[in-house]
Amino acid sequence: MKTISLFILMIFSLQLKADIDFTEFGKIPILHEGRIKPINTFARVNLLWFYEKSNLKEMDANEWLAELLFDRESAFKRKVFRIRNIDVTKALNIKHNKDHLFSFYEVSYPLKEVLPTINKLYSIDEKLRTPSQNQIVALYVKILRYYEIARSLSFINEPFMIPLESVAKDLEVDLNKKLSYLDLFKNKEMIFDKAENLKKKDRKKLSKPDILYLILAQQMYKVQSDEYSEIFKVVPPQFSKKEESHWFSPWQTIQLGKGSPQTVQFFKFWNSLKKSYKDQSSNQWNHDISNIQKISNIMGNGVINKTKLNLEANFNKAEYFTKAISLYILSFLLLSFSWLYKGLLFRRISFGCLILGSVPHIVGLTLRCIIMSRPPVSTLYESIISVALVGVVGAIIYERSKKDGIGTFIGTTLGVILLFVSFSYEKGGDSMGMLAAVLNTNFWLATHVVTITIGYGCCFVASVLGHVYLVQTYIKNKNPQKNFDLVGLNKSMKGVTLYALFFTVLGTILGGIWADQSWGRFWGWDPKENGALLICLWLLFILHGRLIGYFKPKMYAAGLIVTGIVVAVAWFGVNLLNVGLHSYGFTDSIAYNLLAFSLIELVFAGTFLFLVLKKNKKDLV
Amino acid sequence: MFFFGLLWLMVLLTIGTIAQKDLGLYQAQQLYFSSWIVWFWGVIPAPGGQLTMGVIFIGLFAQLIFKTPLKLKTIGISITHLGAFLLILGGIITGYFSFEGSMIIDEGKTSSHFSDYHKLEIAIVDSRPSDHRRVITFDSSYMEKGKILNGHDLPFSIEIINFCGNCTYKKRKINNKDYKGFGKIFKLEHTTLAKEETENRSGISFKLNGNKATSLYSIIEDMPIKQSLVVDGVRYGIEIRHKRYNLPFEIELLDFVKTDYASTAMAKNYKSIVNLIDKKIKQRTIVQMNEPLRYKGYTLYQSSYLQEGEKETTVLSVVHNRGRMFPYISSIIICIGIVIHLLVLAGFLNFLKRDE
Repeated sequence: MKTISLFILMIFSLQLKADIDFTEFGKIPILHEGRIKPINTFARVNLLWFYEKSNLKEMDANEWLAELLFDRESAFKRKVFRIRNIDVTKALNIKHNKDHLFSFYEVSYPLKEVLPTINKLYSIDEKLRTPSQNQIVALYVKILRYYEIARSLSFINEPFMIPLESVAKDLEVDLNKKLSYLDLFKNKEMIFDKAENLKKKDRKKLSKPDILYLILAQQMYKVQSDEYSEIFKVVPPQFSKKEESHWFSPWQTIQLGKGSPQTVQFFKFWNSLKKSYKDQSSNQWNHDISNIQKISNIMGNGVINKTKLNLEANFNKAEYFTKAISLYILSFLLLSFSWLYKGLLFRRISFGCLILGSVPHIVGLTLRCIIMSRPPVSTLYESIISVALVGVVGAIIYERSKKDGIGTFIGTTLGVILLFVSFSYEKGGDSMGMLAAVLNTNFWLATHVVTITIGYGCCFVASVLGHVYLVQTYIKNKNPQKNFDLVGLNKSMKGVTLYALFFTVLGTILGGIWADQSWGRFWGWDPKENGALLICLWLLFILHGRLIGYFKPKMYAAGLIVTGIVVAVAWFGVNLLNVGLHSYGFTDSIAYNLLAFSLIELVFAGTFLFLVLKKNKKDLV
Repeated sequence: MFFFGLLWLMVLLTIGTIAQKDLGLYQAQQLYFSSWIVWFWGVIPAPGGQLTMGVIFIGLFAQLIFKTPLKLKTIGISITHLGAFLLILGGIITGYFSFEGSMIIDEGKTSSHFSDYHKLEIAIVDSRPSDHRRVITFDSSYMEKGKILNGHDLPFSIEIINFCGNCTYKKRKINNKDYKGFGKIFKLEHTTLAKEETENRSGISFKLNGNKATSLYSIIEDMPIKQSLVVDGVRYGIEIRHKRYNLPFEIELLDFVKTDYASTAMAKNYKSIVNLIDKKIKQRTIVQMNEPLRYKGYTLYQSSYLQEGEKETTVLSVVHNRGRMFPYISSIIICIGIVIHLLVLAGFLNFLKRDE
C-alpha cells in the first residue's frame, strides 16, 4: 500500500514538474553582448560554453537557467562543467570521470585552493601558457560567470525576518514575516548608519533592537556583495529609447538608482515567479511570466521587437540545420543504394531527400537574416552554412539538367561535410554576434561577402566533380550504361570552374572596392585578400593550362581537387596567421584539421592520378 | 610565359603571406610583393612580385595586341582579358602615383596637412623670416650612411654618419663631448624592425659642417623637444618625421562621436563632424565609417580615434590616387566578358552566328 501511494505521489509530482512550461520563460527579452535576444539564447550560449552543448541531457537550456536563478542548491550540484583534459583534473585534484562532467561544488572548492596559481597565470600572456593552464584559467572564468548568473536575482531571496515590533515599525515592515533585501532597501542607509554608530558602543550595553540592527546590517552587507552581478541585463532602458541605450541587470538597477514604480512591479513578479517555481504551480508560473513580459515590453517599448524575439526563440528550438543534415545523410544513403542496385527509383527518392533537406537549410538561413537584419555571411559559422547551401543548390541545378545522380552526390557530400564542420564553430558563443564598426554595412556584406561565398560554393562543387571524374576514369565498368558520361563530365568541370572563377574574381574585386570605399585602398596584401587572390590565380592557372593543352582532363580533374584545398586554406587557414583585418575566430584544432584535409586530398588526387596514368599505359600496350 | 608567371606568383603569394606572421604586413609586402628581386635566405635571387606581375602584364598586352581573334566564340574571353589588363594597369598607376597618410586632428582644431604612413623625411626649419617659416625637406633616399644634405641656400651641410630604421636610445655613462644636444646624453642603438610598421622609431646621427666648426648630433622620431642647430648665430630646427603633404584645403574637427553597442565597449560606429574650409568658405560635413569625404582629388576616411579623458582626437586617412577608377571599370568589363563567354558556351548566342 505504502509503495503504491509513493508511486502515485511520484507520478503526481512528475506530472506537476512537467506542467511548468519553460517555452514562454525563454522568450523574456535580455540584452547580452550588445544585442537584445530572448533569454533562451542567453541560456543556450552560456550552456554551450560550460557544457559544450546548448541543452543539457536531462533538461533544456530554459529549464537549466530557471533552476540556476531560482534553486541555487540544485543548480550547484548539477553536473554542468565539462573538463576533458586530464591534466586539469590532476591540477585541481579532482577525480576524473567518464562523462568529463562536474558540478559547480565539485570544481569551485578545488579552484579556490589553486587561486594563487591562477592569479599568476593571469599575468602571463595567453600564448606562453600551456593548453592545460589556459583551460584552468578558462574554467575559473566560467565558474565566476556561473556564480554571477546565480546571484542575478539574489535580492529577492528572503533571508530576513524582524521579530521585534519596535524595529518592524521603524522599518515599516511586517512583523515576523520573511523579507528580502529589496524590502529593506529603502531603509538601507538608516540601518547601516545605525549599525556604524552601534559598533562604537560598549557591547554589554547593547539593547535587543540594537543587536537586531547589527545583525541586519551584517546580513545586508553579505547580500549586497552580489551587486557586481551585471550579466543578467533584463531591465530595459526606461527613458531613452535608442538602440544603443543601456540595459541594466537587476542589481545595477537598484544600486545605481535606476529603479521606478515599474521596476518595483517587475521585481515583484520575478519574486512571485521564483515562488511558483518552488511550488511548481503551473498557473501562477504562466501568469507571472506573462506579467514579466508585459512590463518588459512596456519599459522597452520601441527598443524591443517582440516578433523577432519570438522568431529567434522558435529558431533556437527548431534546430533547422540539424534537420537539414539528417536529410542530407539519408539522401546520401539512398543514393548509395541506387548505385548498388541500379535503382532509378532510389535515385529519384534520394534526389527528393536532397531537395527536402535544403528546405530547413534555406528556412534557417532566412530566419537568421530576418532576426539579424543582415545577410547570413558575417561570421565564419554563418559563412560555412551559406557555402553549404550554395553547394547544395548548385548541385540541385546540376542534377536537374543531367539527371545522372552526380548532382545528388555533390549536394549530399558538401551538405553533410560543411554542416558538420559548422557545428564545431557554433561553440564560439552567440553565433549572432554584433559586428565591428567597419563591417557594419549591409550593402557590402550583401555584395562582396555573398559573391565570394557563392564563389567558394562553386569551387567545392568543382572539386567534388574532379573527384568523381578521376575515380570514374579509373573504375570503368564493362557495361557502358553503368558508367557516367566522361565527356559530359569533362565539359561540366570546365563550366563549373568558369562559374567559380566568375564569382571569386567578382567577389575579390568587390572586396577591393569595399576597401577602397571604406579605408581608401583597393589592395593591402592582407592575408585574406591574398587568399582570395590565390583562389583566383589557381583557377586561372588550371583553366589556362587546360586551354593551351598543358593539362589533359585527368590532370585538370586533379587540379580541381587541389582547388578544394586552396579554398579551404584561403578560408580557414588565413585565420591561423592572426594578422590583418579579417582574422576572426582562431582555434588550434583548425590547423590540424586543415592539414589533415589537405594531406588526404593530395594523397587522393596523387594516387588516382598515378593509377589512371598507369592504366592508360597498359591500355596503350 | 603567362602560365608560369601565374604559378610563380602563387608561390610568392603563399610565402609572402606566411611571412607576414613573423615580419608584419608592411615588411613582408616590401620584401615579396613590391620587390623586383627576392633574395631567399639572403643569397638565392628569384623574381620578385613586381617583376612577376610585370611579366604577366606584358604577356597580357601581347595577347591583346597580337593574338586576339575577332571571333564570336572567343569574344567573351577577349573582353575578360582586356578587363584584367586594365586592372593591372590601374595597379601600376596606383603603385607609382598615389600617396596616402594619416591626419590627426584634436576636437576644435584645424589641420591642412597629413603624414605618410611609411615614408620618412628630414625637415630643417629656418625660422629667420619671422612672418614666414621656411621648411627644407630631404626625403628618405638621403637616409643612408655617407649621404650629404646641402644646398637650398643653407649655410651648412650635413653628413649622415648613422641611420637606423628602428632605434632605441640609451643614456650614456659619461656625456660625449663630441656631440651636442640630445646626442650628448643619449646614444642611439639599432634594434630589429617592429612587426607593426607604426611602432618603428627611426633616428639619425649626423655631422654638421658649418663655415667654422663641425659638430655631431643625434635625432630620433617624435622627440618632445626638437633639436636645434646654431650656425653663425642663427638657430635652425631639425627633425626626422613622416613625410608631410599639404592639402589645398583645411579640415576643422567640430565634434567626434562614437556610438557603442548597448551596454558594451564595442564600437558600433564612429564619425567626425568637420568643417571643410576652402578659401575661407566653411562647409559642414561628416566623415564616418564607410562614408568618406571626397574633395579635390583627395579622399578622407574615418580610420581611427584617440581618447584621453575628455579630449577626443580623430584619425583620418587621406589618399590621393589617380588609379582609383580602374578597378571599378575593369571589374565591370571582366564580368561582362565572363557572362558573354558563359552565354556562348551555353549556346544562348547561337542566333548571332551566321555560317560557320
